[in-house]
Amino acid sequence: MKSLVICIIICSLSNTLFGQSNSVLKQAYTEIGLVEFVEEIERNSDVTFFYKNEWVDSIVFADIKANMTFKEVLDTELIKYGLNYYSSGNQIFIYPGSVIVSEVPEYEKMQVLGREALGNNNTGSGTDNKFIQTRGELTEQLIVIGNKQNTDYSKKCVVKGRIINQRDNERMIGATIFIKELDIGMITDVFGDFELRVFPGEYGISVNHISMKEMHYVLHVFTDGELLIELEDEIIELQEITISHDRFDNVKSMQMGFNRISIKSMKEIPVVMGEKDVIKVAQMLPGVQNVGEGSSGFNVRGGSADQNMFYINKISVYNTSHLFGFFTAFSPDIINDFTLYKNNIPTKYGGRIASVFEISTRNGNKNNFFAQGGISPITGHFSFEGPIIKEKVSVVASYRSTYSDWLLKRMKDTNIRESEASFHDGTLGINSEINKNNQVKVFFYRSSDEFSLSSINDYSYSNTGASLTWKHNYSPTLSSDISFASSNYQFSNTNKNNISEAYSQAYDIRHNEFRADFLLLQYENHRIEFGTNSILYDLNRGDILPFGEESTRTSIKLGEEQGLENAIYISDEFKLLPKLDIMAGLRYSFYSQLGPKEVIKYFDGMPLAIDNVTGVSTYDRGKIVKWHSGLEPRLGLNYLIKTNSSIKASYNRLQQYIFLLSNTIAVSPNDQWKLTDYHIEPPVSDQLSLGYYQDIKNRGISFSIELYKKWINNVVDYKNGADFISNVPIEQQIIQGKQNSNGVEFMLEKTSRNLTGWLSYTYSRSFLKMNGIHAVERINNGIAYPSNFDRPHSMNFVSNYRVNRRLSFSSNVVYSSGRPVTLPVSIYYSQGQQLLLYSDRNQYRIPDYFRVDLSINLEGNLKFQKFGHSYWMFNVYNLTGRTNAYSVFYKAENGKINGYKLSIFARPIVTLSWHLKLGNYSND
Amino acid sequence: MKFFLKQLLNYSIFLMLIFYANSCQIPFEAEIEGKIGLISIDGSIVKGDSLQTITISSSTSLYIPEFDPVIGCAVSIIDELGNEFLFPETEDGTYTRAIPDEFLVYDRMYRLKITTPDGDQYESDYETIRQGAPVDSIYYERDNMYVASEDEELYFVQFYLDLKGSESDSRYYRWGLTEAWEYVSISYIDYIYVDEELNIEYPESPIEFYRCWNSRKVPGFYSSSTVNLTSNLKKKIPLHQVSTVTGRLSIKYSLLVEQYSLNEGAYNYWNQAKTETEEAGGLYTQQPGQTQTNLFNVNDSKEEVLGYFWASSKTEKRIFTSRPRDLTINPYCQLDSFLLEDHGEGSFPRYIVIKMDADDDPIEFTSSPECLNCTLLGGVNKKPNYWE
Repeated sequence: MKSLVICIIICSLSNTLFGQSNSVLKQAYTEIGLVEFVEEIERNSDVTFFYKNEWVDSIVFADIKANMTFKEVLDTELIKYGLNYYSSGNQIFIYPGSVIVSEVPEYEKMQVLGREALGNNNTGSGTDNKFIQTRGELTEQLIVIGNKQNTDYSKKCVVKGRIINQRDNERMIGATIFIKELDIGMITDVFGDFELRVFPGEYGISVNHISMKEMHYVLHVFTDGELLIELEDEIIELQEITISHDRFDNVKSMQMGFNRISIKSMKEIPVVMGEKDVIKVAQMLPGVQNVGEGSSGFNVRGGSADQNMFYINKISVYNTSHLFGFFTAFSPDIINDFTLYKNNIPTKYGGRIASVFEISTRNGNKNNFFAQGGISPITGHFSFEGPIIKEKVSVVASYRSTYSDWLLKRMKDTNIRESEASFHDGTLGINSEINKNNQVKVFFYRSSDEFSLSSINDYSYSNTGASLTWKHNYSPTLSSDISFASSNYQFSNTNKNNISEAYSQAYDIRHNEFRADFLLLQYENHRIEFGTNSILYDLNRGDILPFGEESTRTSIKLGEEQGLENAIYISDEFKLLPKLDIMAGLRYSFYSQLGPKEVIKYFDGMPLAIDNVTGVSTYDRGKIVKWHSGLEPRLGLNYLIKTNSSIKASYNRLQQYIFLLSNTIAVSPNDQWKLTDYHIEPPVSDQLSLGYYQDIKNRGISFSIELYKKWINNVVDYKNGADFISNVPIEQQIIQGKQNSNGVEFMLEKTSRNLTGWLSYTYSRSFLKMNGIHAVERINNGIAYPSNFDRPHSMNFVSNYRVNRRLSFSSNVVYSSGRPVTLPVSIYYSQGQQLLLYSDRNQYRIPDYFRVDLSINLEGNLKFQKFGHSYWMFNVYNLTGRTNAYSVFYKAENGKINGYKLSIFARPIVTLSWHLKLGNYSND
Repeated sequence: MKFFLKQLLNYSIFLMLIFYANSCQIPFEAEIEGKIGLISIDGSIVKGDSLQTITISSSTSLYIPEFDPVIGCAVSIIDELGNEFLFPETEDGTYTRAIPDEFLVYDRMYRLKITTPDGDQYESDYETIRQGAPVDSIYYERDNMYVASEDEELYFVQFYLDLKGSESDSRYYRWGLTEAWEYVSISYIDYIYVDEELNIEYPESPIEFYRCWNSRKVPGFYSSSTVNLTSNLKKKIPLHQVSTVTGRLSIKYSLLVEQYSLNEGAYNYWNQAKTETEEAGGLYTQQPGQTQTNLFNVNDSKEEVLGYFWASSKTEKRIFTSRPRDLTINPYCQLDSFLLEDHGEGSFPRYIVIKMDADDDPIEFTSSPECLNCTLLGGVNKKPNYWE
């Protein structure tokens, strides 16, 4: 509460403090309730009181004499009840806590600072002092931008704003600013910055961020200027928003198929093994599924896992899982939030056809050091952050590791006892604010996994990446965000299963990406983004090499590949009609496969098979082997029916130049990424969607329906017995065909009061059709069949109930149709054995999936001044112990065919985890 | 590679076991619509076999499988020189004849031709008999594994085979395994009570039901290739396992290995059948697909024809192994004294063993019939000719 008081400051108004409250009471009161007293005063004067009923409704003033002033009454009486007040003009705010009124005047001199004032009267020492300081308030505050004398009413003013966290000055990414009068809104960028272009005048604005308290201001704009808004952590209010998406976006933004979830919300969602996990949370959103518990990656709107792009601070991540997918390769300590684009993917992104998944990390506190950590049965994690140069440069770092080996050593199974498994991930970020026009951010990321299974297989993989981001403002209306990121994914694998055949393989892919994104706000009502990006892929599929002295394995060079993917784009978001916003964008991507390369040529019109080889063409280093390009139009419409409901539509085209060689149902850790090449066409997706969005603001409820239809060409599937570590060229092992998906997604969310959460239901279908010219290029005789990710019905219910600030309960209820499966349907005999005859591809389904989870979070005490804060999480995954099918299969055992259902989490899984932070409750 | 993937699956399940012993495998039968009645042809021409056999049947129910023969077909094998060998039907759906060895020639091509009584004509592609390597060494290793469902360690011997072929030999092989074993009852018997009146019969000799020999074909798919290796040599190709629980290893055990050379297509067919039949079950297994047969309907190329026409050469080798040292056989048979009131109607005949007590008085002992009459466990009490 003290922090609230410190925040009550500045801006606004000449000093009318206590002007009205100096009025004298005309009569005496005894035993009068505070509410009654206040109403009495409101009737007799033009003073208005603001308070919360629960703060005051039990308060009764015993004895109030006539001739006392309001001020005297408030001063003497309120303090008895632990309340305080603050007066602004004719408004008096009553709130719990104590006040340091004497600080107020110190800030008064900063209340009005125009551009001129900044130039002539630069009294502040830090950059931030140049901004108008506003602080959190219980209601609307007046902020004046510029100087009235210099106002030119015919011209728009540019107000550059920044939103920061009041507690640690961390910039708030993705905060939303909405101008009521103009019915327009915007979102802060990765530096917490936004820009308003408005005619001089008075505007009501509201500022929102998922984990922060919503703020309202009145803005008097006279000339160009700058604005700094500090948001407070939501905990100031008794009702905390605990699980929320960006509800503001829902109705007014252009975005469709968009979700953003903060780590704070994730904390309240029950998870298996007590690990906060961005991907497991994403799987609770409509349109996002996976093939089975513990499988890595996920599937968006019926697409395969390799159709999703993962970025963590602009570093692309090619393998997002630890331990085959039981965990996600991002430490929760470092994550600020994640954003998932399922359609209407911003024009600046491309290269994957299903989704873009962006993880943004904590920026690091520029003023204070802060650390946190935790332990669960499998992992321990730790992070810290703090200033290198106060208010200028901050550092943030995290590390997480597993200690499951001790568990392995205790197992009865000798194969497991002789096995080892471990994983690590770590990050380091440095953020520097050189000046108000230049910010630089450096980020490093690494995750690694290792295991050996009973000294038969050794396996390891890692992602390593670094990014450098420079944000620059050229003028108040033009800014750029330029970055360079390099990442490397590699795995190595030793198979000692048979001594003669033992081999090793080392795979690696390097992804070097340059991006330059520009934002132009010069033209009224237009938000223009343009830019370019280039990715240089350099991958080595590795060599199959004999392992051990007795191995006679033939060495195979699987080959190296280079490719350059470029794109240029431009998009404009503008208001066509008062209620109709349009986003029109065009992206042109062009890809070239580069030499050195030997390309096998085949007879025209014949299947790509060894029998049809005509020869080999050799391309030298740097020569273009094959060129693919395509225009990718993006279009979005948002028609605002009312201020709280809208209809949106969008069309997207996306192309993809890299894919995963994976002929197993789930992504396996030794699947290789492969570039499209001379023979393999890039997959292209077209998506149409239509949605209706509605907010019921004062109840914190929002609702949306989205319909979509997607057509994909050149999607990749595999011939029977495809083997990617053989010397058979890939083009001889794959088939390309079409995929059609469609669906409808309902989402109902509640983001305020004690009960928060969402309920989503999705009906969706996804079909593949592999109907090539030649018989070998067909699957299922060329008839469409359900994809592995076709789960028509899916329902998720995520809820969190906050009993008080220390105790909360949350639960998940998950239902979905079983995934398609190809089952044996008959038996025939060969050489005395029973052989299985399988059905058409994916003709059957495994049983439906249903699961209930429960989690109890208990926070430590809420004292403001303390060294550390800890909390316990008690998790039950699969509360009902339902034996959900992971797979259904039949196999011969001792000459007899038996059917089985395999269930991974067949019992409730109980975990207790403990987390510690240095500092108090709120600095999460 | 496939094995690796399978192990990955196992590994991930193991991880779950480690954490909470929570995964489980439950018997399950999906509701399916069978593809019954598709023609299935299993034909082979084997250089080294005295009799060549073709079986023709229909695909059968998954849950209640039975051999459903197609009878009355005209079956013949034709070689590339035009020699035709007609096959008479020797059992329902089984067509057998001998082909003189001079017509079974390495690198010669053969094909199968079938006409069903309905007039459907099926043929195979031409297949070549490839020269195969002689069977090299066969050996075993003691091993054990933890069986989670039983929560106990299972001890077994794992048989292996080394392949040693010349460069002219085929690089693809399949093995047929026949195991045989000698075993004994827990005791010689003195006489038999044939009914509850205690009428007595005497065995021809006390050892008539004591020592037996049994054999069977080992189920499973055993195949390997050296195509990924620099030479036609491969060590430690895993064959089957024999658990100590079975008692087969208790006296003497024999394994007959028949090694068939294959063509690439036949190997791929068998390997795929093996993967889809024995290694199904996880997210890291491949999508099952239609096995690539070399048989087709002459008049309807779209008809789904099952099975394969194999052309092979065969070599074989038999090994014997006596009871592995320090191997404990779990005895479940034991002698109990015979009391008439324990044995009601239906529990006869009882095999009786006489033992003398401390005072030299005879006491009657008995046990479960199969513990005292080895022929009741499926074996014969006549030593096979090949037995050492």
